[in-house]
Amino acid sequence: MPFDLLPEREAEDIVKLRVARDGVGAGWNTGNLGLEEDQRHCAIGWLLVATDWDEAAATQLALDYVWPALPPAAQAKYQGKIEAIYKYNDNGDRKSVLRLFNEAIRLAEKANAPR
Amino acid sequence: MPPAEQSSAPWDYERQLIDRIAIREAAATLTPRLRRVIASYYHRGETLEEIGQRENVGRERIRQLLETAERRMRGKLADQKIGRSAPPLITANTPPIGFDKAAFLAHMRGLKDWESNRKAREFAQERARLAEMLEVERSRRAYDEKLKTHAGLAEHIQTKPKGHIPHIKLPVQYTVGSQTYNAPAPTAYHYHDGATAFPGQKYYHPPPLTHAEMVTKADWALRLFLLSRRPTTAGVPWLGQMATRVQYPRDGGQIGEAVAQLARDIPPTALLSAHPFELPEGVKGAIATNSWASLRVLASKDDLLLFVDATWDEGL
Repeated sequence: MPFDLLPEREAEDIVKLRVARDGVGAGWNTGNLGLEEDQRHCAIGWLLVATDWDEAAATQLALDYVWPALPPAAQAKYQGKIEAIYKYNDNGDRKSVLRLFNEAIRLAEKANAPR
Repeated sequence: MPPAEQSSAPWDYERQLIDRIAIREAAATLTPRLRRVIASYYHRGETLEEIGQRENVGRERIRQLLETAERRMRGKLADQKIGRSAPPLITANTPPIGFDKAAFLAHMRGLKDWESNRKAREFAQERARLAEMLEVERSRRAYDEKLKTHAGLAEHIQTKPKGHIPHIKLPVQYTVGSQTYNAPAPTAYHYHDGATAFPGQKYYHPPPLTHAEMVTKADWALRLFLLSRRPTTAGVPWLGQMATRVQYPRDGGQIGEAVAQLARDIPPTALLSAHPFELPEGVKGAIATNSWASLRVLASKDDLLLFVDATWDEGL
């Protein structure tokens, strides 16, 4: 267990979400994920970057924290959760995506707060 | 509850639930009076005298009624002991009344498994979706690269920006005597590949489809076509043989196979002529009123295009 008393995996999750959020701040785009060599990515693309292009880990992060952080209307609009995040990214602006990640980080911190 | 009946099985609550349902079913077959008596005695815990006073009969009569009710319920519940010393309960070995207990338990177990696997299922689906998105992105990127390296296509991209509308000077007027006429509008030539060209204009072939686009297009075309089908295919022999699945090429080497597969399903003339193939008029009529569909197939040894244009009335 790391020094801040958070379980290993959850602490990593929060760090990855922060990496993704900072990535959106640094270079954000819409319409495509962005590949490894790119400097700009969409929300899902930055999740992939934060997880070192581990699709399973990125999916888990998206399902556990990012999708629950979406506004209810955006959640209800699409059946697929990855799809919903992707469309939210494309239909919104950088600010709203940053807000989404901040909310996801808040949810992750809340879920993993030491009891 | 006798100790032998006690169980630590995780489905014990279900078993109790089933027992209660079975008892309810058995009690439902009694007359209202017997039901009242048995409920007062076992459920509310009233004495025989109290029940007798309310029913305006003696204690002994109530005991008789109670016996009758128990006997009848016992009959309904097979060999179950429903009585003062043995609380109502059906064991796991008892054949249930009115429904299949084993099937019910299996069903409940299945529901629980389904629910517990829900997250895993959702994860698998979403992961597959993400992989698909990445694949599309990679193939699109490869396509762009291909276009950039191809001189003619690069020119095509540069000279025809997105949303470019050809400039046509219209109308051209000419005068004969005192009468002024408009020149006939130039006839647009619609190519089989969807491109449109006007007279005096250089024709640019649209960029070739990527593999992913080709597969998607063919897949959607086939779906649309099958969707627009109606059961009334009598008199159209080849429609009855229409395949519901076409093997799309996975790479260049398999295109020939896919064409061969398609050739088995669609008349050879449609393929070999490499010309647009339209559905016969009779088929169009059979599909639906106010609907229209056309199927165009273009196939060569290194290309496979299957176009289906279909419109139909949603209300039909």
